[in-house]
Amino acid sequence: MTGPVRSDGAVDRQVNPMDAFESHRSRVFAWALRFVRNPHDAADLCQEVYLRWRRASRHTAVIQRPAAWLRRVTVNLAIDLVRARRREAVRPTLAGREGGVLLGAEQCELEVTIAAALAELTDVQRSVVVGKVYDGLTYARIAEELGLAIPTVKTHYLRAIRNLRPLLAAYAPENADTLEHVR
Amino acid sequence: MSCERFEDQLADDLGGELSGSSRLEFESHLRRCPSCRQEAETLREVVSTLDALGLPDVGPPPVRSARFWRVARRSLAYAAVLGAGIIIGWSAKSPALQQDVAPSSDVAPIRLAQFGPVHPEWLSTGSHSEAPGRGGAIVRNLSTFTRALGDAAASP
Repeated sequence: MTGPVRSDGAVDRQVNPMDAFESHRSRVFAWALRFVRNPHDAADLCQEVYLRWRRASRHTAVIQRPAAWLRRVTVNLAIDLVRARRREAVRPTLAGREGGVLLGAEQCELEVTIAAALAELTDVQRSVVVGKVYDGLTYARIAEELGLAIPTVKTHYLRAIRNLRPLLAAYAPENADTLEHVR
Repeated sequence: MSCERFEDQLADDLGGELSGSSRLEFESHLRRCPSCRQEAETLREVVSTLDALGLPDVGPPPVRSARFWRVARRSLAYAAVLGAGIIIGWSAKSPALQQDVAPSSDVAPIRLAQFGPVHPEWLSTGSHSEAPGRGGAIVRNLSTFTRALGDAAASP
């Protein structure tokens, strides 16, 4: 019996999209959770990603790089959600969390700042940063998932970190107290 | 090590993939070159800031099984059928529509009038399912059908 994910990592549309998605579901949830910080929002986001996955599976013969596709879509949706929350100034998920309201507000500020900063990157740069910093993948693994050469991935990472530097200036060493509070 | 070589190894350093003699060489260059040291420290801080966004401790992800998706899809289908039924029922009892589709022409294969006569009290009734005639019956049957299917889907 053929599995949902082919030997080259691609997903064939002949197989049930739910089965193919299931093998990545915990990673999708983790990506979403890291940004939205709330399991229910993360689960809703997983559902949205799954629906998009289904649509993409219908319209594309083969999803060549499922992990990269899912990471990109999930992180983009999560960032959109965090930024929308910021616009609405509604942060119910952080109220009453461990550390009190002040810590929640600072943590929220960090989340929003990072989400806004990542939103400024290109899709590839964002995928590389998330893969490296949050998934702890090697450059070789990221290169394989994205279908790029390893030196290219390193270049994207370095450019991304440099692009993020001014955007995360509030958390620079001279403002280290801010970061220590939220850790 | 030159500053150009430092640039090559900076990504490895930031990605935690610099080890052995390369790391020694890299650190040695940082001690000698203030500008490269400054650059490395600043970028390490950026990575450190990103890393501060750890995963919250919330336990395992909520499981939404294949059954959840099946029920969700089925519910959407029921809603669509019910919506279509309501539209049909409404159009069947609408006097304006009856007049529109009952022309004086000789060719009138389908007329909404066949769903039954229009009663003035329909205009004041609150529910389409209370309407007499075939339109109301369609809505009543669809409601019963949908409820039965919903019960079946909810049962284990």
